[in-house]
Amino acid sequence: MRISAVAACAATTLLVLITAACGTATSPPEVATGAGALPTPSGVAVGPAALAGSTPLGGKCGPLPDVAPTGPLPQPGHMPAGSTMARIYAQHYLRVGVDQTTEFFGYRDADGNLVGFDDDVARQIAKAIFGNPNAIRFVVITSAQRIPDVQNGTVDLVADNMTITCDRLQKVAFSSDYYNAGQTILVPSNSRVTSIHQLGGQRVCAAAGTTSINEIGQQRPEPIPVSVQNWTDCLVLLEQGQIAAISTDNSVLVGLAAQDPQTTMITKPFTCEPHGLAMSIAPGARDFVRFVNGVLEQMRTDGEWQRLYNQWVAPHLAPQGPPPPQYNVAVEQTCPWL
Amino acid sequence: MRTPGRLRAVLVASVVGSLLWGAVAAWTVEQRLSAANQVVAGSGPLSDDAQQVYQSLSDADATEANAYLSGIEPASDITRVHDDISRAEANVLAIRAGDRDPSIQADLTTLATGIPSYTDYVGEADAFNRGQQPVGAAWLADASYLMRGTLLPAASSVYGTENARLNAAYSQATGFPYLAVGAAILLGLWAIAAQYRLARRTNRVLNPGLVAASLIGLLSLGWLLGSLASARSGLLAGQGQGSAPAQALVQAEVTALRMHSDESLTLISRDGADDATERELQQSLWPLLGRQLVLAQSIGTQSPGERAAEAAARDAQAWYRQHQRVYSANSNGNYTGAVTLAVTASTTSFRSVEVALAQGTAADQAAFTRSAARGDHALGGLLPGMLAAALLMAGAGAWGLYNRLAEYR
Repeated sequence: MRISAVAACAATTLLVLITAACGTATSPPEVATGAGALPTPSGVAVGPAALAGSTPLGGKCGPLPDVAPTGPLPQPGHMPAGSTMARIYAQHYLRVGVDQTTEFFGYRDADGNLVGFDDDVARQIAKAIFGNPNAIRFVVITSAQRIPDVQNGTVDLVADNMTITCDRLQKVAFSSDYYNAGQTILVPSNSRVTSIHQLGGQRVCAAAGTTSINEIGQQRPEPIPVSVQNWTDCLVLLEQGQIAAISTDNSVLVGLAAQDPQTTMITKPFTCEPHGLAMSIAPGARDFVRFVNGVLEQMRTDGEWQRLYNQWVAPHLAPQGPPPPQYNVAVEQTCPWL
Repeated sequence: MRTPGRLRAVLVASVVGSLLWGAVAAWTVEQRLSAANQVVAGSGPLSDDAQQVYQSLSDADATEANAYLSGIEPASDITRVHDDISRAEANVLAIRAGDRDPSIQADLTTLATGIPSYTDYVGEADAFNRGQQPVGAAWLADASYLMRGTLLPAASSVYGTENARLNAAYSQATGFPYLAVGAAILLGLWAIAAQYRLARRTNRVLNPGLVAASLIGLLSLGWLLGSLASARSGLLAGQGQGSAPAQALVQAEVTALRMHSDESLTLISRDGADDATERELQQSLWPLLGRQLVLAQSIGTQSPGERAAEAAARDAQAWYRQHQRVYSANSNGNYTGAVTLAVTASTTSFRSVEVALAQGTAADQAAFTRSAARGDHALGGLLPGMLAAALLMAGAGAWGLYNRLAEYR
């Protein structure tokens, strides 16, 4: 074929006809060089955009009326007719929104079952309604889905590390404070950072729609907030060297630290945050809030709360007793570390 | 002009005309040879390479996600992903070496730099998965996001470009040879007119030289058109029963791989049974796969991959039923059961679809190589033949007219 091509060139050139086969040699290709930016997980926002939908801590707001428990709980399986609990009983299971990425609070064990402190507290509610702690259907959600899923009725209850704030009390009802946690930071073990105040101008990660990402934006000097969908996405970014620290509740951070021994949690939190189970704020559903508060009250007194806390959380965080219920104050709480 | 002068002019014209015919015929053959060569040795293999990149990366994504669900990755899956990645990287290098067109360089760079990041992420995901740490799922989601958001679109774009080039080479190699046929008609008319006038002026009926030259010209035209037609039929067979059905099967295979990957990612990710990934599988990919399989069967009628396409369409129904079992187990909160079904029954069922599609593609590719090579061979010897015919024509015409001219001396 090559010989015939040469012959063709010769013949055609002779007759002043130039063919493509006689074209000049092509130049080498343009090679795009330069390292691209590290790829980031989906749903990452950096800077002011990261603060969208987040919520400030505390605030001044009145307590929710009619949520203090009155009298003993109804017997499991015998919910008062017409009550929210009777409706839940009729659906055969309690629908609970939980996380699956936070070790010790809400995660999957080796068999893929959802376990953790939050999940077990929710099972106690199911037990009080059905007499069976497993009459429950967990719906795995992200932090940002917690409020919408309560509002649109996808779940009856959210048990997912949720801080009680005045802002959120406009949209959902909370149970009494079922544990206290404080925001701190998780850094690589070789980092010299010991406080959030040393992170001005550096990237600090938290899940979108949380009080934590809002707090990051409140610090001075201000870090660059980076928001993600799930807490483990923050850990990926830390392991990729794309952020300087993760900042959220110590209860979440211990779970992340347990997954990567090359990280260190700064033990002194800079906030004190009451946590509640979120439910519908509809006045007709107030009976359910009262019922859940009654179950929590019972767990405080019969030692179930302490047993669960000691099983899941105490080995990794400082020991804690159940926070006292305060039905007439919305969001005030005192923590031993502040 | 007196007769000898006219004869001399006709002589010169017949020689120049013969050589011009030779040039036009040679140019036509050369164009065809280079286009056919482009199909057989250029765009064909490059399109094949690009297809391998696209297919291998899709397979790596699906295999890796499915293996992650198993907890401890099966050794066969580790090998499979390793082979997929090696093949993709080798093919990226092959494309880079074979196609210097600037338009695809950015995509090739994306692939060359992104594939190592992908393997890094997958390695992290596996390590955390072995430690049963939830962050492994985040690494895997990250890897898959990189694959689906960046690498597969780049691979798909390279594949599209190479396919478009292959199709352009096909049409160049199989179009009608207007120039050669036009030149032949003009020369033929001139030869008839010249004979006619010569016959009137010299009272000789025919000039044997010119007649011989015309016959040679006619023969060479016949040879040229015959060879081109034969090359065309080979190339069209290569396209119709080879590369076109293979392309359709590859599209279906990539969709099936993405569905398989989606099934695993839904279980690995955190959004529950009705998340966006599952919606993509049920609402867009499954109908798309159905359409692609119907298309592959209609394009591939009488192609070697026809049977395989039919088998794949049958098996896809069975596979989707298995997927529905996974979905309902997951919807009913039976996560462990859903995972077990996903890595056993559903995967087995998926593999039979995938194997059928891969076999069909391989059979069609082989048919392409055979038929296109046949088309290429049909042009063999044509070029020197055309040049020799032109010289013979010129010689015959010159000889006949020179003899007539000699009669005037």
